[in-house]
Amino acid sequence: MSTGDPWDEPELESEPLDAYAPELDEPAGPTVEFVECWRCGKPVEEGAACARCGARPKWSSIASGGPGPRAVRSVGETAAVRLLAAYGLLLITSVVYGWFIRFGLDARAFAAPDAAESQVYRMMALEAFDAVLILAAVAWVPVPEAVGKVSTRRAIASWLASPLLLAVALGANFGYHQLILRAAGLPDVQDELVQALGIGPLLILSICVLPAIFEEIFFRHLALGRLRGVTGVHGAVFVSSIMFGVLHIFAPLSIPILMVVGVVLGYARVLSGGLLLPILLHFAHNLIVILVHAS
Amino acid sequence: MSYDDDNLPPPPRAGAPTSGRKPLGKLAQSARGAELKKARGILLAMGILTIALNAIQFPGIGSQVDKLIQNEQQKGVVIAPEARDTLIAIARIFLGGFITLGVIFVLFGLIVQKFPVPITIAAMVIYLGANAVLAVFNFESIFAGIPLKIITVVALVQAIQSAVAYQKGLREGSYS
Repeated sequence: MSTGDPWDEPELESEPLDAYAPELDEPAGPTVEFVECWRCGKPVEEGAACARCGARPKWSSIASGGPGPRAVRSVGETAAVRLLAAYGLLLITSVVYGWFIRFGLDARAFAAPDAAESQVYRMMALEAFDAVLILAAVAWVPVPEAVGKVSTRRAIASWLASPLLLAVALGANFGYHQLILRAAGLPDVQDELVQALGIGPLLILSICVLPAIFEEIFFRHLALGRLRGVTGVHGAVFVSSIMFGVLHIFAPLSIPILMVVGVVLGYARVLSGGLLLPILLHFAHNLIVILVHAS
Repeated sequence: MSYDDDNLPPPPRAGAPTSGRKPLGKLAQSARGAELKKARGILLAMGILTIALNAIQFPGIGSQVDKLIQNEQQKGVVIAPEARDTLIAIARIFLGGFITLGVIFVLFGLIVQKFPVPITIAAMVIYLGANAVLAVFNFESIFAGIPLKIITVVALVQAIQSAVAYQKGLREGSYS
């Protein structure tokens, strides 16, 4: 039963069969089974060629006396597999980047401005590569359409609450990092990077703009949108924020707190109904972090 | 181009021949329940093993760091004396982090039957992430215990599939 909440799952509600009566006036004939196209993953009538990509059904199993074209997976499962495959590629990219920077523990990396600049170029390259992967994932992973519009009141409330959400994310982030760095007696590596290079357009682009846009597209649009139908809204926010945190392998000590930040951004997405609020929050969060480190 | 799962045709009217979908029999239901129990067992085992293996290493951190410093000094690297304390602190933080991870897996195992899908997917992501972090530190660690890692990943994938099917069954009313 719908409560008017767009994040309820109406696709799971059963509609009265009378709703379909006008389309079924003709006498019942042979039933039509829909299976998943083996090439593009879209629903296709069993035994027919796919209208989208033209793939013919595989009949080899019928020839051998088998059950016929197999319904390999549901469409939802195909999308979930593709999503996880795309995430796996992003994870591999992060691992490779982590090898290159070795978590920034090498203080010599920031001994000269050239070294700091090359670090920023490496970050730019990582973000650019991630952007290409994410755009490919957007084209490859089918995303369910939005269930319904968020009410205007809720959207306005989420925007009004955004400074509070940002404060929560920043407070948790700074508090956690201060605790960890003091416990380990480590210098703040990002401080050295920002102070060696200064805040310039390159740094802002690589740390604030690109991650805000593309990470939100992947985690709060693709992942959250796809997982919502399987795990529910809260489960989708939970899992997508874990994926978001784990992706930052090159800063392993930050992974737990980034999961918390991911939860904040996830609920910003859910409550506002759009991607703009989480993108702006993510941008503002990263910008404030580098401004604090530069001071 | 947007796409949604509702492109499939509407369900047939009552009385019309169905496409053959029937509610799950008791055998299938018990099979799914058994898969979820297996998932719980895997998560509990992973958690307890992780806690045990990392807790054992705690007392020997100092000697391991000394060995590491010795190796680096033999290669000609100059290491300041205060770096020892920093390295020990970092090692303690990482071991503590992995022990926390073990506790999280145990908790996941205890609640997996209540929230099967999010917990199994989260467990998979965290497990892969933890191995990826170790791989960045030491590439050879990917190959250490690889048969067990493959078995664990396969078992987690099966757990996710069972959890999704179990949840679908609950929603369709196949399960009481």
